[in-house]
Amino acid sequence: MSRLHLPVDPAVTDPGGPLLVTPVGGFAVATDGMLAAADRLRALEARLHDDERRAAAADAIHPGVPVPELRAALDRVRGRCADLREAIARAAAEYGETERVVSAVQHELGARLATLLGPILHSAVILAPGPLLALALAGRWYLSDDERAAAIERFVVEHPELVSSPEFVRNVSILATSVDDLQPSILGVPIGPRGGAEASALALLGTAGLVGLMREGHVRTDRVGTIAGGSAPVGVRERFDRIPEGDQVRIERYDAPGMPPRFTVYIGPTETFSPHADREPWDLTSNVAGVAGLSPGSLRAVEQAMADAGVAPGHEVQVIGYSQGGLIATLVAASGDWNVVGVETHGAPTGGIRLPDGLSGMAIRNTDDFIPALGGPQLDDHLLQVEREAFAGDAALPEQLVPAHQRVAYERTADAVDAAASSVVREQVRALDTFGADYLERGGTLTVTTYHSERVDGFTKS
Amino acid sequence: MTTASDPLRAALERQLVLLAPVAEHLAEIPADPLGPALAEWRGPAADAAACRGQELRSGWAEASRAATDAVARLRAHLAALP
Repeated sequence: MSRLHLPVDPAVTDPGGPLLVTPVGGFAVATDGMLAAADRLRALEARLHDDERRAAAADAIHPGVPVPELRAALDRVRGRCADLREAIARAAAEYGETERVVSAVQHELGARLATLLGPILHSAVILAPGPLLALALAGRWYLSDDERAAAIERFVVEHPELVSSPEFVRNVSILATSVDDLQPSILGVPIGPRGGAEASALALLGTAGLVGLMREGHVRTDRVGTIAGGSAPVGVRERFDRIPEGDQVRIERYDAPGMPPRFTVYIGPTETFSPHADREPWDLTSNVAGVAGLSPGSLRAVEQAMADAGVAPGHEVQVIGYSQGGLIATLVAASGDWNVVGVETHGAPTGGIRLPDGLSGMAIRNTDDFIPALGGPQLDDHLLQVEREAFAGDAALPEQLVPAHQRVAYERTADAVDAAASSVVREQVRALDTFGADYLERGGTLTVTTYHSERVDGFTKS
Repeated sequence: MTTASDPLRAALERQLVLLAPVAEHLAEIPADPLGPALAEWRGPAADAAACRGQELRSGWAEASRAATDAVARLRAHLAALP
């Protein structure tokens, strides 16, 4: 609690920590620096192998000067390179395994605590309805809904440290996977098989629906404008900067002579956190429905925009999104309905969504941002995971709502990913960079269309 | 006209062509492949890696000395030839 709270200054030196990288297909977690060191060692080993071949050839020349000491010394130093590289790999594997075990134990404890806590709350509801009702009514009487929301927001903004630590984020992840245990336990019904964040989100939707909240409706998506020309983005930061807000979807169509078109779909973040489903599909309802694995309004809106832009099932597509946009991008990739070849998400709650093999790109998260944790722990391993603490160590926290989830925090993290030195990160950045640039270099064209979507019926207005 | 030292000179020159780049390589590349990675890494595994890094540096210096010695010996032999 001793951290300083300062006004937001985008020009401030990057307060973020080192990049943590989990390659595709594994749970080993290494820093980008460690992976870059492993890359350098691998290159040194290759060079030393070449040196050894030269020394062996020289040693075999007769008459000449024998050089067995040099050959032995080269063999030893190459062995030490390999030892060091393996030590780095072991450290990464140990760290990843420790994280995995700690996370599994904490989630299991969370589920057990939820089932234990449920009967206590259940008894409280039965035995003490009067005091509970009085408390609830008192809260409603003293403060209106808007005043309560404003008071909570003001409190959180003034105390950013409460929601900005990796420990808090871990607790959110545990809570996100335990709601489905807590809810039936409170109601006094038997616990079914646990289903993690997806089941928790479903349980939340079910409960909210009973009181008229979070009810989905139909969406209509309209073109806002189309512009021809421009360049393909270079790097993570340029892609992040193209993610729209307000008008929620931007689609870039790349055409090249004799080639099928390619599309990059940029999907914006949540526009409102109101639990009342309203005209805005980029809302809390879509967030919860997305984590539940349903078909949120914002997903249907994106698919309407894609169809309007001319995306056919066989066309290659990249999906890029921030926050809810990242959730929807991941759902589009996981649906199997589109030929998604690349995904890049920033701060998205996608841990439980199963992705197909062979995707380029990465999921980027700040470890002190609890929004991604609402999707539960990271279970899928088909996409490179890149994380870092947005405000590391004693870095001053700005007075903002969830500072580590703010756009400026992810801008800095995008810059850090662009500056990554490890081949595992750079290869993925390059793969996304070349997607549109390849077509433009062949004399192709770029057309950008922006879309706005609204719910039109079916939802319940409060 | 050839002399008895011609095959030896050719052999030594061939060895020098092979080994001079090895000596240059070992002298040029700094033996600090971990770079700044250790600064962002803590714990027993980091300590073990730091230890391995130190062993690599000493091994590198040993290999560099061996390569430099070999090249120096070759040059000395060549200079001593008639």
